Amino acid sequence: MQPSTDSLLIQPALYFTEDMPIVKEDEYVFRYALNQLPKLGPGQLAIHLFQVVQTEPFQLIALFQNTLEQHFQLNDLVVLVLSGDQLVARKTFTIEEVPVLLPMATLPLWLEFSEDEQFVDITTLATPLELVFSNEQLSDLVMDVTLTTSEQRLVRQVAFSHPAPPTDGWSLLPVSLFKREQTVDAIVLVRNPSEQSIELDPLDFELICGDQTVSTTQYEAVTVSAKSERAIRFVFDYTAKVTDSLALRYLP
Amino acid sequence: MFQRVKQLIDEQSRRMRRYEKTVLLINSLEAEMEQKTDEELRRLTQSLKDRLQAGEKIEAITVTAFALVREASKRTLGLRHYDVQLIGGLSLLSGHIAEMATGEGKTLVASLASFTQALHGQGVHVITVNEYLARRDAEQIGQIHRFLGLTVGINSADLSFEEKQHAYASDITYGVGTEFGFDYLRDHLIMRPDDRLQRPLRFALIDEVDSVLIDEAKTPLIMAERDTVHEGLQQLVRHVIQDFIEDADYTFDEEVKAVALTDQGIETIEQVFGIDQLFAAEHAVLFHYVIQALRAHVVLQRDVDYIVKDDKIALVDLFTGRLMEGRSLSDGLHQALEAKEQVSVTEENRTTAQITIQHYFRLYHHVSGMTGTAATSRDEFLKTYRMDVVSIPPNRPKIRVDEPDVLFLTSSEKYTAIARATETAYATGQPVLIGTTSIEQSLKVAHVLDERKIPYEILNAKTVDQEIRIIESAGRQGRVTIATNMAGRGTDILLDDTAKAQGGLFVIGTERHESVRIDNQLRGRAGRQGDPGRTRFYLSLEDDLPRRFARDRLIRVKKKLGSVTGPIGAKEAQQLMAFAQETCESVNRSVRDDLVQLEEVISEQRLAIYRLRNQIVDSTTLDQFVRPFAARTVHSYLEHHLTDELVPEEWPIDLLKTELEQLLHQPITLVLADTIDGVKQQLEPLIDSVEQQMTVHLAEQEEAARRFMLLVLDEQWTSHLTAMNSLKEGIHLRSYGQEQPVRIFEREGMDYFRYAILSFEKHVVSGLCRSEETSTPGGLIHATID
Repeated sequence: MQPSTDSLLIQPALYFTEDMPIVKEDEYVFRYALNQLPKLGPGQLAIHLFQVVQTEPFQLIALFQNTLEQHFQLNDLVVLVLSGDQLVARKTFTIEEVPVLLPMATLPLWLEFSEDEQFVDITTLATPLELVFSNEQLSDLVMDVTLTTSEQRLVRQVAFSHPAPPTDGWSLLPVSLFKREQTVDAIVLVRNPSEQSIELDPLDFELICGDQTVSTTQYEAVTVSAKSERAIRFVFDYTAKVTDSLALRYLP
Repeated sequence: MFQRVKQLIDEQSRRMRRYEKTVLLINSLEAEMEQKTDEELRRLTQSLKDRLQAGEKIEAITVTAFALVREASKRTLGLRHYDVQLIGGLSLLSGHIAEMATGEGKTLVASLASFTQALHGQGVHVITVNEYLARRDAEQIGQIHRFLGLTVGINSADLSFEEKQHAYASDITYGVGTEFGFDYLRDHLIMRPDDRLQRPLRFALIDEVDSVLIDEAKTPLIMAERDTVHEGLQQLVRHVIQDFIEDADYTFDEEVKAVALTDQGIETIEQVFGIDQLFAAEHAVLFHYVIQALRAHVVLQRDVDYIVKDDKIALVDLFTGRLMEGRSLSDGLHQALEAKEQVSVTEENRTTAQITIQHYFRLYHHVSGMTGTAATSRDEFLKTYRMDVVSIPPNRPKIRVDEPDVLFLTSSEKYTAIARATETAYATGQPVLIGTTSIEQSLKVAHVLDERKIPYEILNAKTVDQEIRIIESAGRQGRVTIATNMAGRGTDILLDDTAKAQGGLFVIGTERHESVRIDNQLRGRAGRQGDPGRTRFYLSLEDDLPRRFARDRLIRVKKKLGSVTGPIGAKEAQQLMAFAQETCESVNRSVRDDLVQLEEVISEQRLAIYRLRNQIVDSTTLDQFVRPFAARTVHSYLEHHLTDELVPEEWPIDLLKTELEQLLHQPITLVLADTIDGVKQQLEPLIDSVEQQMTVHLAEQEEAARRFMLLVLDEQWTSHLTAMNSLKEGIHLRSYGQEQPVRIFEREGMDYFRYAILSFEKHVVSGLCRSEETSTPGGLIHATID
């Protein structure tokens, strides 16, 4: 007979440290919240959103749970904030930001996201937020100087929402197409996950409406450093209708 | 029983004979005193002071002191103390309660004991029932004291700090008891020795001592600060307890309005909040929120105890049914009620200091008191306050007639009879004082008098000064006055000649009070100093007292009586009223007794905290004071984590190390050892280093550190008081085996107290090991209920 898996599940005890900005009453709110969380199996690490403290700048309290038998510290721990399928924010925590995770413990952590790490206005979200770990390695992100702050935010969201491409080549990832009065602006990520820098010849793109090419353009030759991504912007001379369904095609 | 009564009577007689002998000695000095010049009397006063300073006992100077006061009174006020007044003075000096009938000149009696005790030069506090009387006595009796070279001050709420300091520096200070009590509490919230008002409490003489020590026994003096309730936790607790079921999760005692959790309720709370022991000191905060939420949910009823109006809770006065605008419940109960009714949550009143008036007066080295009505509560005074009651014979014999009660079946008949009796007396010009138990009852009496067009004065919502003026003139011919029993207490009703000729004051009681003593207070309004007067109580079987305290007997008697009209002569009915009053007295005595015992626990703790606080305020060697905190704090962490129940390999050394590093703001080295002592030894250098750091910190910033320590102590004490008040709630509904509730309170209260002291020391150690300013974190957390 197999032992019940339920009997192996653990709810690691809450642990508070002196430097946490909480009063005694807060402890019980944490305890209550912990009791609502699913239990973990042995040897697991989990993260849960406890509560959003503020939206500008974005700050939240997370509950880190560790059911390993020993304490450990993580460096470059990537945490994603999701709202349904949407990536809301992403942060890489260094060893200075995440304290020692004690064995069999649940630890509240106060997380603050900089402007660069937040991609969506929190107040507009309908679906509740959740936190997940990500094991993706970050690559450098180089922005075209013409990109506005909101465009840069969008670039980051798209970049971090997609799996890194295989390391044996480079790839293009469309970010946005924006209809202007007489033009259409396109932003594309040129991704180079390889260990060496690449120099690309001028890149040719087509703007497609339905199944028809409505405009073409070329982006100048570009260099993308090793393990980095570069966001580029180019423009199509095309007056798009509001109802036009546009797409982008790269011409190798 | 009879033996005990005989013993008490013998004791009284012996004491009286002793006093009479002393009076003879005082009288023998009268002629000598009369010969002395004013200046010689003052010099004699100074010589008595010197004798006390030189170590003589107060008994050795009493005869001369009393003779001096009598002579000074003759010269300043033109009043000579009667012999019986000297006896009263002697009993006060011995720390007893002098029971003297109204009009026997208690104020003049007080002058004897207050003067004699003031010769110690350590301050005497004379306590009056209101500020008007404090001013009056300070001005009148103060003439005697000032004449003899003493200083006299008045302590009142409207004084500035400097004026209060001046009043307290006087030899004799007059004022209301609550104001002295509040000053005591304020003196223990100060930051510098110069901010202290009171000297060590030596002698208090309390006028109307039964009001202060018995009637006000249940009302503590409370100092509070505004604070924000933790809405998040409050919501969660409310969410949990709203599904609780009476007798399964909690019990409710309707009589005393108390709730307590059952074992099942406790387990639910422990499970939901993931804790082991709800009653452990470290969870006192949660327990407080649970109890307040439960009280709001169970005890307080909407539209009975309060109403919801304009997004606010308005409390209802149960006696008058009126809304008590602007009043709120303290210690988070009001906010728990707001959460229950889902209206906007206001700030709470958090108790920062509290003391019952009795416990305040117990702090004095000597206390004595005066009243017209104490004999019936002699046992209680003896048992609770170790003060005996000495009945002082009147100067002139009492000729007041206390007529037997008249009892009716219904209250409407009773009021009709009161109106008729008033009308008859009014027709002859005899003044009438109608004593009621509430404002509502005063209005009912007023209504029946209106019907008969009898003019009257009603003491309803008047100022103290207005009350006193009305009461003073209640003895004039043809005057009818309606007043609640307490109104104008301490003021004599003087009769004019016509009123005297018409039989003096006629006192009508409209209901038996909660004790015979209070009935006697009302009767005592008539027949002062041998004046004529009469009293009579008009009662009905619909009165509050039989309904509340003799319900079963009342049903039987009513059944037997049927529907009689007119006065009820039945012996059984008369006995019923006496039984109801005795039961009420007994219940109240028992409640007061319990309360005194519970308060005793808090009182001991308060004394300990205040001693500690005074040490911090006054100490010039704070470093020596705080050094032991380091070892105690570090060892407390060690004892918390390392227990004999675990094998050394299971000891959470990492956790202990991390916690100590965070507490002390420094890296430490700690490795597993075979024994607890082995780990302890490794911590010795850390303790030395912490002591060193604290010493350096104190040397550099002593005043800031002192202030920090006082703030931490006050915060811990405030939290502790909140916790103790929650613990007190429903303590009588909790029982473990045969353990008395008071013992449970004492035991758990002690755990709470140890926790508060340890928390204080821990915060001080942590704060003094940190170089930058420390601040209390605020609550940012709200609750999410799924």
